[in-house]
Amino acid sequence: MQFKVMIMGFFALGFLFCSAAPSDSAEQNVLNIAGATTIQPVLEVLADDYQHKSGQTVQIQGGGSSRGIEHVLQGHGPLGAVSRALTPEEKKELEYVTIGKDALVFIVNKRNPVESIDRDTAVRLFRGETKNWNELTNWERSVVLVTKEMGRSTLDLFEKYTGIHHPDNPEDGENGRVDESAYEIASNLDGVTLVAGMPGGVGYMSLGASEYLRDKGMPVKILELEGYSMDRDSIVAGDYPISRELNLVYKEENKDLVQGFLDFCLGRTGQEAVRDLGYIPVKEPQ
Amino acid sequence: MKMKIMAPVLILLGAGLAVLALQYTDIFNWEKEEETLELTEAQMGMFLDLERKVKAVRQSVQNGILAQDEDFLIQASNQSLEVFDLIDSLTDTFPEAEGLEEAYQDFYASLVSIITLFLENRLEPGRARLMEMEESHAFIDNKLRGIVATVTGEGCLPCFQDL
Repeated sequence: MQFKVMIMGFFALGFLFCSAAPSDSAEQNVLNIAGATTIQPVLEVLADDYQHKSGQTVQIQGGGSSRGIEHVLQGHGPLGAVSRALTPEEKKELEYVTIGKDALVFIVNKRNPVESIDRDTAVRLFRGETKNWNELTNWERSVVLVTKEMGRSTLDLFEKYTGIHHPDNPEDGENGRVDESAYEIASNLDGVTLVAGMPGGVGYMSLGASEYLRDKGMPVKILELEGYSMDRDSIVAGDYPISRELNLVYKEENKDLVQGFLDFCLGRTGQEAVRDLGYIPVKEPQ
Repeated sequence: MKMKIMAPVLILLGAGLAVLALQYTDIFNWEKEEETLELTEAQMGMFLDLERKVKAVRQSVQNGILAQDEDFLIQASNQSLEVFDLIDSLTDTFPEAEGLEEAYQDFYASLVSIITLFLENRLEPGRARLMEMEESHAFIDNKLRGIVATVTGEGCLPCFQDL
């Protein structure tokens, strides 16, 4: 019996060592990135080009910004994608590079006559107090809420802006919690698809993803927020109420391993991909 | 004597009137039957169209996941709006269809949530969710059949109210 336990222990230890510390050669050949699904499309566009250019394989997984931080801190991979500014604590442990900017936008179905929204209206909607769009317009249709799951930086921004917290957030929001009837989604892609397919839908998503999909024909409408329409100048100037950084994070000790890819993201090809997918480049591609 | 002469005339007249009345009634009934049948066909068409469109939404989302192409998701969203239009029409006609919108909404939300699971390479929960979708789709199909059964009066198994 003891022997069996020992054998199992060795296997478990072996597994832990293998997963936590991959061999140097494997590390050099594979750049494993995880984190924000907002940044994921940009990285996917760049991965093939970079692979071709450098010979290094780029593997990308989503999971949200929180996962991006954990991914690097726990040594699962050298790079994490985080679609928000880093906290002071995170900045002590991690290095980061901002590759673009994005904003959080409120979206509704294209059929909805509503054109703009402000903080109070968003609070009443997401607390479940406004049940029907006829309370805001002359359109008769039940409100269907779409919110993000925990661990997503889009949710963090929404919580900070509205003061309404996710039902599972350990802390109460100053304005309460998102109504239990809300549909919970993970990525911007399924969020936009959900609002687009339900006439009464309303959600908050990444500007880049929403604009990109809307321009491709997704039946959604991006609402003006507190009088600001979605023009890039107001985001760059910092006037738009909810904007954010798109960051790639890494540990100082892995700098050599990731530097090539970071340079590629900040170079012409990288910044073009940022712009083409609806985000705001930090350097205007020449 | 006069009565004897008049009797056959009266009988013939009565018989003629009876035949006419019968014919008129038959024509009237036939027309009415035809009208009911046409209406039922139109209604059945709506139910079948709804069933077909729900399948199309599901197929488009699955194609979007497999091909990793958002064009399929755009297609799914537009098809989904058509489903809502059909549900609106059905709900106007049949009070029995009242819960259908919520059931479809739940189905669509679950279906769309699978996108991320595959997008983020979370394949195991993705496959599990796909299995759930089979059940959710079957639930909508059963609900539709239940409404049809209640409306047409052709039995009530499974009865809409019990679903």
